[in-house]
Amino acid sequence: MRWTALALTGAAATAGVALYLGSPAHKLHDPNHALQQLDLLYLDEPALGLDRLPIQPGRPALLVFCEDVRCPLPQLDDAQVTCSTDPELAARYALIDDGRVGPGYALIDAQGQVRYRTFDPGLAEHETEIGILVDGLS
Amino acid sequence: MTRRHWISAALVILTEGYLYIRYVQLGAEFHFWLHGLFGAALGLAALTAVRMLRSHRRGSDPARGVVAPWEGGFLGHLYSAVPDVLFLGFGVLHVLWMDVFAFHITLHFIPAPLVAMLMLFVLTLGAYGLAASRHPGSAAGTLAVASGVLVVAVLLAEPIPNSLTDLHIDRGFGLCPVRGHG
Repeated sequence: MRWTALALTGAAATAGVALYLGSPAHKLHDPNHALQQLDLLYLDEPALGLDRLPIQPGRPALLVFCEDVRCPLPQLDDAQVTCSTDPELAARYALIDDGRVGPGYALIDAQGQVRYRTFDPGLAEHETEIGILVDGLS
Repeated sequence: MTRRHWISAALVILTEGYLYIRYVQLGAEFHFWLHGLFGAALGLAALTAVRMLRSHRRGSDPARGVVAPWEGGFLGHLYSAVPDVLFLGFGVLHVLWMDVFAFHITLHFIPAPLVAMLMLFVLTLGAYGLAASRHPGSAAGTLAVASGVLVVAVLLAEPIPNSLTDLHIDRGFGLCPVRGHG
């Protein structure tokens, strides 16, 4: 009985991990899993390509990368939100995978420094998470 | 199983189910499995070690104790998930000192993180089973192997990148077991 319960627990965990690894969500996640929605501001360097984007200096910005300009965007009160489908710029932010642009985003602080980037296939629904990160920029 | 055990087992299953749904809503299944498996392994390993010590000193039955194995695993999961609770509940960003919560940051950067944590979890399940079956030597050996896996994984953890250039460096680790991904 005890060993059966332990085996079932191990099998359930293995099945759960296998299901996740085979899921469509996993295929859209960061190839470097460590950086998938890490929620840690691990970057601090001048943001790239700002001259090509409609981003006003002096205010935090959310730079979204996706395949289609009509991709859903989060609504944020404390940051300007802009979208790019440029594969060259996405590559510079390491937000291109196997030729696919995003979906993901970079966070740029009011001083024009990039502080964070991540793939995120559900970014439009993750306003709370992104809002906390934007608050952490200041 | 006592009545309390049945109730606690049901509560653990329900709460883990709720946590899984919340992590899925946030697109964070990777983090659920990573911290869930390691936290559960940590809790179960601690419980196993305590029961083995008590059995050795007092001759008590290692299969019995106040804390049930699922309770130990669940408490370990909660401990390892504290930074996620701080983030969502209080807006506290992840920072490096949060490694005090079961290597919450470093764990992301070990090679093949989910496979390594699954291996660790299965090893601690085995150690618990061996200890409860009165095979303390084998249980201690299995816990030692699990500890070795953890030490090697942490030693091989990639450094946290701090520039966009770093993100383009392939350090050669198999980060993901899925073909063509990572």
